[in-house]
Amino acid sequence: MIELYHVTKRYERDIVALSDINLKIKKGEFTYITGPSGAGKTTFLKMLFAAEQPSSGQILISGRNISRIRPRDIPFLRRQIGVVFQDFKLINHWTVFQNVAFVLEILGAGGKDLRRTVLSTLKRVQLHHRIDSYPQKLSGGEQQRVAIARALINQPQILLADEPTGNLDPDITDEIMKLFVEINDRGTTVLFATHDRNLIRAYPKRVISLKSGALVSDNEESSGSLELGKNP
Amino acid sequence: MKLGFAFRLFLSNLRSNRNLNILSVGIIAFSFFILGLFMLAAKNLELVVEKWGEQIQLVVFLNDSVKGQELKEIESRLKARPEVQSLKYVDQDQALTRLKAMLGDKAQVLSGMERNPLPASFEIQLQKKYRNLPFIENLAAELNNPGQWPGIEQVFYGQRWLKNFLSLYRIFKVLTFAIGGLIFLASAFIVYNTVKLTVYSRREEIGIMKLVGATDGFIRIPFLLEGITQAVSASLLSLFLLWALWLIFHRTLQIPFQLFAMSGVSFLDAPQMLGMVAMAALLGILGSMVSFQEFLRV
Repeated sequence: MIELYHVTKRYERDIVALSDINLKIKKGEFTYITGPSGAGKTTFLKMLFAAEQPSSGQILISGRNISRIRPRDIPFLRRQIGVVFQDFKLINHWTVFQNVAFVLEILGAGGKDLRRTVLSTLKRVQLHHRIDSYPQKLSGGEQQRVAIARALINQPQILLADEPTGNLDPDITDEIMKLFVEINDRGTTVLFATHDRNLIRAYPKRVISLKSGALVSDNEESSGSLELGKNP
Repeated sequence: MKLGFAFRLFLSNLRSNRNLNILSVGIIAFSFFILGLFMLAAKNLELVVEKWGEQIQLVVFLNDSVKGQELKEIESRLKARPEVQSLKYVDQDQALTRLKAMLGDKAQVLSGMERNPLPASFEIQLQKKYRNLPFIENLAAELNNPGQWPGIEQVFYGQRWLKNFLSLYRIFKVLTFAIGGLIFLASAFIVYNTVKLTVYSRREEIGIMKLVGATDGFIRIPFLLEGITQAVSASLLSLFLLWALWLIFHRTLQIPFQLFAMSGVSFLDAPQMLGMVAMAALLGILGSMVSFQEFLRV
């Protein structure tokens, strides 16, 4: 599903964010990307939704090489990938409905179908009762669930999450984590960047560790696909 | 293209960014108001200056012997000239009457004369495009040539006054152009930057839209509409303010409209107003397009 071959990302001349990364992530896998701050987790995810391009190497998503993707093709790539951020990235003067529905509006959807799809997606994250609220009236956990609903509404095959629980307290973190596991159980490939060791211990999955831009460990063989979708 | 959605987005943006939009419209309207004020002043000053220009005339003095058929011939030859807008014959008696009127109390100095010494003349009003020194000098030289124009004694055209007037007119034109150009550039700069600020204030929102897969074209439409709406409504507001000021100016000076119309002083005409609104729309588009390109690299 996701393949990286000798991927290196350099900012300017001497700042290396990622160096010679080689890995494969199978369809339906749940994978943590972990490492201390500045290890390259965000850069790694950014390259997958083409917010950054690798300085060298190849990135394949569903067999398609996106290393040198043309700017005008980027929106179409992003429609196949859901992304969730630590800071939620919701548009504050839009309601929950508008934030989630936007993804479908881009595709030209409208009318009753649109409302029905938004409602059922919000039900999945248990926020259907807040459909007309504005993000700032919601708690952090609720805002993150809106962001997850937005990432899911287009039924992407891949869901990328960049420290999605970083701003949340432990109870809410657990709630959000269960949601990600459930999403993964339904077949979506999940890449989850976090530096929270407790989280990884609580929900063991394949863990790819980065340090100073280099891949230092990958427990693919030991835990990876075998534990796919199984809750502890 | 999902124009309906883009339009709804534009309306929702207008509502949710009401304060910023009002501020932007205010700033743009102010700069257009200054531009309009200048246009109004320049236009009316030019009208006044052109009125003076109508006084540019050639006076062709005739030999006393020119009468009847010969007079008619000179008149029709002059009328046929492309430079001539209108022509007025002043005979010897009329010339004397005018002189007497000019002398007023001192007219009795003329009573001692046995015969009228003043020549008859044609007063020639020139077409607007020929009211400049080289043309007038050429025409005067030609008319002064007895070989070509028998019967003409002398041509007079107020050389010194004309030279002063024409250089003054030229300075006026250059100044209008320079000051107008500067004010135009300044307001264009202000409009462009104000629209840009609106887009800048929403760069995060633009970024989010891009992250969920919206194309640049899709995001651009509501912003374009917003930029145009801001600039156009601001230009309309500034025209309205100018008009209000114009009315106050009338009332204060107690000048009835008819008199204004007669003296040629007037408000901006339709093409000028349309030009201002069109310029606003263009700057709105330009401002949002360029800033858009700048903030879109996500």
